[in-house]
Amino acid sequence: MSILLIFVAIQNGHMKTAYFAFVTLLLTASVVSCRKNPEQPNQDPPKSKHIQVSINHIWGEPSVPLVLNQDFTHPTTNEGFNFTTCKYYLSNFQFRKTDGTWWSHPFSYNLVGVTQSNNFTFTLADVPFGTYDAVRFLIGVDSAKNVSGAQAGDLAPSNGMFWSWSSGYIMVKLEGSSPQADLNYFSFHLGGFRNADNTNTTRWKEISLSETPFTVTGQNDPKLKLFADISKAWNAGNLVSEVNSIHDASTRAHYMADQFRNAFSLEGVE
Amino acid sequence: MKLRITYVFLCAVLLFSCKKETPEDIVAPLAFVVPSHFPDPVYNFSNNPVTHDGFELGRRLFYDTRLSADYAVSCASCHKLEAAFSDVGKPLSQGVGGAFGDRNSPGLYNLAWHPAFMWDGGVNHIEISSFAAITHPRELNMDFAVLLNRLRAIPEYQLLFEKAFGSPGIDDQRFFYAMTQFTGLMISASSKYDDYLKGNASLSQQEMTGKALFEQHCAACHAGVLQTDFSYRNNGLDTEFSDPGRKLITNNPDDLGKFRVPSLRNVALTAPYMHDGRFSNLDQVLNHYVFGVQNSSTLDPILTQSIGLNSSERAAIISFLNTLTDTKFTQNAKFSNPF
Repeated sequence: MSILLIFVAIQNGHMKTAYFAFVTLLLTASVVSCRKNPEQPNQDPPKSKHIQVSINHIWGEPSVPLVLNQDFTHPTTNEGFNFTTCKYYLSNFQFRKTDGTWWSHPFSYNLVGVTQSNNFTFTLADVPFGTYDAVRFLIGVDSAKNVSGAQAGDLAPSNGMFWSWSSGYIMVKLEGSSPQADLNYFSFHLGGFRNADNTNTTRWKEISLSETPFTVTGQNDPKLKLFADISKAWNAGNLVSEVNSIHDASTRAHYMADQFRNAFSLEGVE
Repeated sequence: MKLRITYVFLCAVLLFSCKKETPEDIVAPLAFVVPSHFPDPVYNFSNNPVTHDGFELGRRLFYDTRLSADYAVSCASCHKLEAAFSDVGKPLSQGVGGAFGDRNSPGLYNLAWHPAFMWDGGVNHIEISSFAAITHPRELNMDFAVLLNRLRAIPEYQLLFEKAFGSPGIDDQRFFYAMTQFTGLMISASSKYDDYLKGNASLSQQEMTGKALFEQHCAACHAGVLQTDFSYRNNGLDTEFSDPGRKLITNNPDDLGKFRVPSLRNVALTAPYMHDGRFSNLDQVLNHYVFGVQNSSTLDPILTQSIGLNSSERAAIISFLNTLTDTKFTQNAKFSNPF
């Protein structure tokens, strides 16, 4: 349009018009050049899918749903528990492919727990299509994220799962009341991540999926369902009547972290 | 003609608008600059580029008493610029409700070079170093989630966070990034001693004597240009330890009664001294090392033999320590109260 105008203007001796038309042309060119080249649409079909992980919080055997502010009796120690807080981190999800190699999720940090419902569901983004015969994850947060400064989302300190006095994430926080406990309360904050100081209370948990292979395809809506039997955190070796408060990475914290690992088992896959 | 010029100008503006605005364009004067005689910092702002608005937001937060549970205490209540951000004359500082803290409020400077924070090194990253003080029940006593909601309700902060980070929203990470832009830029590198190191000043005879004695007796721990090796040591204050120090963090009995070796930069301004502020002046500190070191199983090996210094030698060391005072830092208006 501008080019035509310049041409016509020059022919008719309207130099001023030609000048403005020329400048307008430059202007248009500069605006267009600012635009990024449009992204080539991705022609590749998807190779991965967001999957759901649901944690069904239960108590004892035969199990009952674990909810907050309700009385439960421990199946083996008969001690009473009433939870006000049950929160923990599950991170670093990995899935074993049928060739035996593991696929590691690049970023999976999930603050999990009992809220209004005993069931807690979260998403693992972009799990590659395939069949998996085992899953493993870290209970707690890996050491790298413990020393990397201010984090956001589930790792934000305002979630109340980060120690201020000795930087690091609390792997599990269990609080509430018990008639057997000193002063009738219990408060367990297990934390610490340094192997060097023997203060690492994070624990790996592996769960076999070989009986019920977990398949992620373009067609299905995969869901991995796990049980978390919180009663497993206590037993004859860890009585709330003997220890009702842990806020460190002591030997007691290590023992309880080991027991807490036993809480997780497979409910099923969809 | 006028119209033409305007037109050309418009064109030029449009052409230049293609160039993306970079942080350097916004804040040339506020960049994080490593002093030429300093080592590489631990924290270099690579994930948290310093901007004028980010720094100014951090400065406001640092001085804002709305960060405390009772709206009475700010970071600056116990970290005062004129005292190199220590608490003038207070062995232990007072938080909300006048509650006394557990340890002496340390000076804040050259924090980007610190591998860890607090007297026991319990805090492992500069970005979260304010978290401990803000949430401590005897300091600012704030639940951090409550604090974020408080800030979100203040229109001024909505605007300042948006200006600093380019989009609306107040969250943990933005809070800590802004705070770090302010505290991380607190660099003290322009004392008389720095001028001497750079060949721009000379020390008096007494200061030179003190420097030689200091290097002989003190510099094993108060090492290098930063005046600390950042280690944790038991310097013989006690035989019994009411404060376990570093052991609290590592759970290691060998760390009982050990505390971080503090930088001696600005030491003349940061009285009282030691983790509990027990010594009110530098004479008392020097006397401790000469006459007062207490033996215990974790006493630092360097201190098992007493440091022999007569009174004129002690005075010389103190005159050298006075050359570490950086008034250009403590009088820098960009760190002052913005309210």
